[in-house]
Amino acid sequence: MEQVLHVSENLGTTTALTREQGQIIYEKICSLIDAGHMVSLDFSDIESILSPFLNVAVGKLYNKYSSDTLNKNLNITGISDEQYNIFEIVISNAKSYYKDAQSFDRAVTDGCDL
Amino acid sequence: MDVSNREPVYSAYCCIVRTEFYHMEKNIVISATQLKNTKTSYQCLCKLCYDFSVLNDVKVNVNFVDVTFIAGNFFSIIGCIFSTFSVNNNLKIYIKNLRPEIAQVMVKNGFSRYFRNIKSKEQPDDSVIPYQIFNNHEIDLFKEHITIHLLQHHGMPQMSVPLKNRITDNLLEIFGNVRDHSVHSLVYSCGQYFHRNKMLRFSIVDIGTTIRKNVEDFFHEFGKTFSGNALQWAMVRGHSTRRTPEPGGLGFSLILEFIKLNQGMFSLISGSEGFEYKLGKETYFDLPFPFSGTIVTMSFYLGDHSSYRLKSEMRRKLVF
Repeated sequence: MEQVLHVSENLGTTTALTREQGQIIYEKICSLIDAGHMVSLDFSDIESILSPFLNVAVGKLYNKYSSDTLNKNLNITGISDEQYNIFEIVISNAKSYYKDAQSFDRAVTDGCDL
Repeated sequence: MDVSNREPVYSAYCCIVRTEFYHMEKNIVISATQLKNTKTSYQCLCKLCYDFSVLNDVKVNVNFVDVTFIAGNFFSIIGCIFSTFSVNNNLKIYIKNLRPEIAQVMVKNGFSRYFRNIKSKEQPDDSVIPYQIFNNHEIDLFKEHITIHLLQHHGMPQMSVPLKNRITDNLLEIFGNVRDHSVHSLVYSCGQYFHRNKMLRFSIVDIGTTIRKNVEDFFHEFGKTFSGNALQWAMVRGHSTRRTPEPGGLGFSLILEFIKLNQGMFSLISGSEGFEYKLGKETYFDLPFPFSGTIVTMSFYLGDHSSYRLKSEMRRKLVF
């Protein structure tokens, strides 16, 4: 069953800017997916969406769920064409990060020893 | 109006709690004739920051005798330096030999309210964005500030909705960066719109930790030593010094991507390192004197009416 998760209502604001806000949405998405629901994440009425928010609200989902699961259970609505691009970048970045999180951190510090 | 040799002025910050026994006096002359978006200007203000950082419990006369122009956004840097060191180092700051036209800009953007006796004839202005200081958690107030004083400013040209949104998001990303990486910082901001070339220039400044310090500490936690260019490292998509096991590190790359599309400019100064994107060229440079924090200057071309959409006209469904 699809559940609509209104971001602005859940945050109580028209801006989705911080990691802390992202954590609120992340936890709600997880509880709905874990309960067997499909989630429609609705950004209507949200004026600004920043990468710190998305990194946690959406990007962090890759730590818990596969791409297949997210494709089946998560849908994003209410975003503008300009915001679409940032979602794709966040998703791509998150996939790289969680492919092997430990290796990612090691990789970004590789090649920089004295 | 002659503002030279005025009565000493004081920073609002330095009169709060400190005792005022200033036995020594130091004179600092601003060496640049123009303070605008150039490496020379940044070098000049980094030198000023360094000069202040090594002083304690003195009166400081800052002499602007040779300065004929200060770009509005540079008041965020000057204000950050004056404010931080007047409090932290107990300095009593006097501005000397300020030209009337610069005093006028200070009155227009509100910077003058921190100093006595900097007055100018009130004139309506359609190009300045007010000087303002924020606590680094006040991102919503900052958004309100840029909405009212920048996007809805009567002096700004008509902007497309996508352009307004992208400018807002870019400025908020930088503010968010300060919030995430510089724990106890105040954030200083100021801007100006230059009608002739339709460029909106806005600077966000903090004195706290530098990007290099953050990167070095991050590498240290992996038992490694960082020896490269910290700004270059920070600009790479996905690079983040956050300790929480979550993806990040997109802010600078997203902003730079937009600035390139917009034909704008981007400058980043932190510690002794600098980066500039201008006219299609990226340059990394070193500064002879360090800035004890980070300066981000974004220049947006307001004559741009692009939609910033994807190349493809077809809107694809997001694929996870």
